Amino acid sequence: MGSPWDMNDLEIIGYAEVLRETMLPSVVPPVFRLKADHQRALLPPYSFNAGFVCNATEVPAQELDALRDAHEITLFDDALPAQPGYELWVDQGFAYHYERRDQADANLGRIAAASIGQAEAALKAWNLEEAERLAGVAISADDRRVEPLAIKAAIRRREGNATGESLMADLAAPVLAERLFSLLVDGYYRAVGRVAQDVPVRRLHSPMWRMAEQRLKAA
Amino acid sequence: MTAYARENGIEVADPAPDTVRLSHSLYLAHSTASDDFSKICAAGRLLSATQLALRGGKASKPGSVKVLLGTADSVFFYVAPFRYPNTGCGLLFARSLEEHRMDDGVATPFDSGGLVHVLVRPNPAEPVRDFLSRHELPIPDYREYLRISLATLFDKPVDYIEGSQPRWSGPIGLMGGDRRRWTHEVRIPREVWIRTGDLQAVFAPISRVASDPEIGRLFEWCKSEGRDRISFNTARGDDFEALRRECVKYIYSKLQ
Repeated sequence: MGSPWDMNDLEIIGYAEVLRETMLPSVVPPVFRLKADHQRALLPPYSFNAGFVCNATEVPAQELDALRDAHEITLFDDALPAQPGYELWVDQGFAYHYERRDQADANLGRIAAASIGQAEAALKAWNLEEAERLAGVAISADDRRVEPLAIKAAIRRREGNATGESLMADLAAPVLAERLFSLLVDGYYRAVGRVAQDVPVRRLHSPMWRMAEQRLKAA
Repeated sequence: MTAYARENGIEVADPAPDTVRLSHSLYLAHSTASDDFSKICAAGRLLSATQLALRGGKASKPGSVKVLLGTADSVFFYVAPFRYPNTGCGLLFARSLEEHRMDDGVATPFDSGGLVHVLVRPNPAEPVRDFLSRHELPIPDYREYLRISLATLFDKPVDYIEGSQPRWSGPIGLMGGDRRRWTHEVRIPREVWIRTGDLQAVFAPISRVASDPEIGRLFEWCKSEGRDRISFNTARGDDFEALRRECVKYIYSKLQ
């Protein structure tokens, strides 16, 4: 651990993660190096405070290749200057973006919303594989959204995988009560085209269902 | 340790029952990046670098730390919360794993990986392998040394879990590095199977559990077998900090 580093003295040469397609888009922690001394690199874990990188682990630049070979980091071909209040994220095409945090949040939020819409359309078209993939994109873009989990739960129910369905409810539990989540899943399951015998259609139009929808819109 | 305490005027009281319980029950932690974790879930076991190479993976380079230390055929655990940076998913194993592997497992009161490039040994002329083997302890007997360390070196035994520096550096004499300098390590040869009664808990970000089929399947197995499953949000992409925080919280919940 060293003293805090001024972001203005650093540049970004990669990120401390190795991503596969199912993990995209994703916010990633940058790997920094000193602008004035390319032999000194900084790795997470670290924290940001008032334009400084604090408690980073400093490693010699020659160790970076070993870390890349060990699948711990990804290195860029070119460096970009570090900036306070900026976020590094990687899109679905493995292209990286470095932009203001609010801008990054907005872009990721847009990807999540669009992917949910596309996943719902894929569900209606019975393209479950595509719906599953798009729900994965949405949850990667914004892991606080519960709709992608509900879409996946509906697919698990369609597959007869009760444990998998229940697992999705567990993942959504911090955001949405199990009962409301279940109603959301019922709605998506209905879209898949096979409403379970024990789920009356009128339940989908119940006050509880409307409440679930309102909570999601407000989230 | 007793001689060290005497030389430094450290009062060694009988350890409190909480310290005994903590040292006795601390879990074995192994964490990896999400990509590797998916492969581990698919394989159903943790494999050493050597075993991975035998199965078509990359062979360890001759100058790599594990080769220099002779530990390339080991699976590594911290006897602590997850401490390996740049990781986002992890497994905690119960102490019972040590009892099943006491014939071939070994422990050290520090992270062996730091010996080559990070930590400064009291006598740099001593070959690093000699230093390592001189400090190896059998499992699970090393927990007695861990208990004494918690009671003697730290202001409060839970400082060890939090990763706060000990008040006293201890008799080993290592300098430099971070909290891994005094974090106990357990090494088990070759492989450790995951879907067994020794698995205590699995940790992964919500997005990975939902989107990676292999990670999802391990969580489903844990759910059906009554193993603990911890999923969490990873705001700002700082997976390791979220993983570490959730693990510390989990350990505290089990100590209650």
